[in-house]
Amino acid sequence: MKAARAAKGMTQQDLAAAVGVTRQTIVAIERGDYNPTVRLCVEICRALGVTLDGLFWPGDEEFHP
Amino acid sequence: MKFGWNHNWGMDERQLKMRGNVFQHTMILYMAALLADGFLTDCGIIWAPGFQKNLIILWLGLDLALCEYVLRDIAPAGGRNDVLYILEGVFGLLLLCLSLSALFKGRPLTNGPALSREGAHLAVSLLMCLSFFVFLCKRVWGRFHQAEDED
Repeated sequence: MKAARAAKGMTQQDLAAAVGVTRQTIVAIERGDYNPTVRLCVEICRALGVTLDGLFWPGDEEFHP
Repeated sequence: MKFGWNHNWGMDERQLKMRGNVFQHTMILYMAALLADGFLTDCGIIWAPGFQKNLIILWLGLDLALCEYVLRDIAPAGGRNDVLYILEGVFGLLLLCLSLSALFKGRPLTNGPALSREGAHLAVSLLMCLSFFVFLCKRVWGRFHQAEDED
């Protein structure tokens, strides 16, 4: 998510304002400390102009059920 | 916009979840404190005068909840919650000054094994100052570490 945000040229504050959450929530999501709801994931994807699976779907090496 | 118990005070989903956790911790703390107080009273140990005892337990839960609010970024510095912490700090310092002046006038902090009225007021003022102090520290820390979050 951090890479997608940087590619879009947005700061954490910009993204937070775009999706209607606090900057601290964006920080927590990027650090992996907080799992957002699907609704917020969709908002983030819309703001960054990417798809949901492109941003949040884990690669094989990351996925540990 | 919702008001009353369902009003979310403009918090986002993470803050609302964290707020629930803080309420849970505070309730457990109150239950433990009330049980401990009841046990001590039954054993004949009075650690503070009646009303002041309740006041200390009340402010203990409230101020620890406010500290947790700040530390978990539920109430980030710079928001409208700042007023609450500043008021808490102002009244805490005022009460601390009153307690210290009573101490310098020769009134004791303890009355036998129990806290005196002045001692209880000092404890409450320290609790109030604690949440204000945590708020200030977090604000200073946040100012210097915001750039690190962006990296």
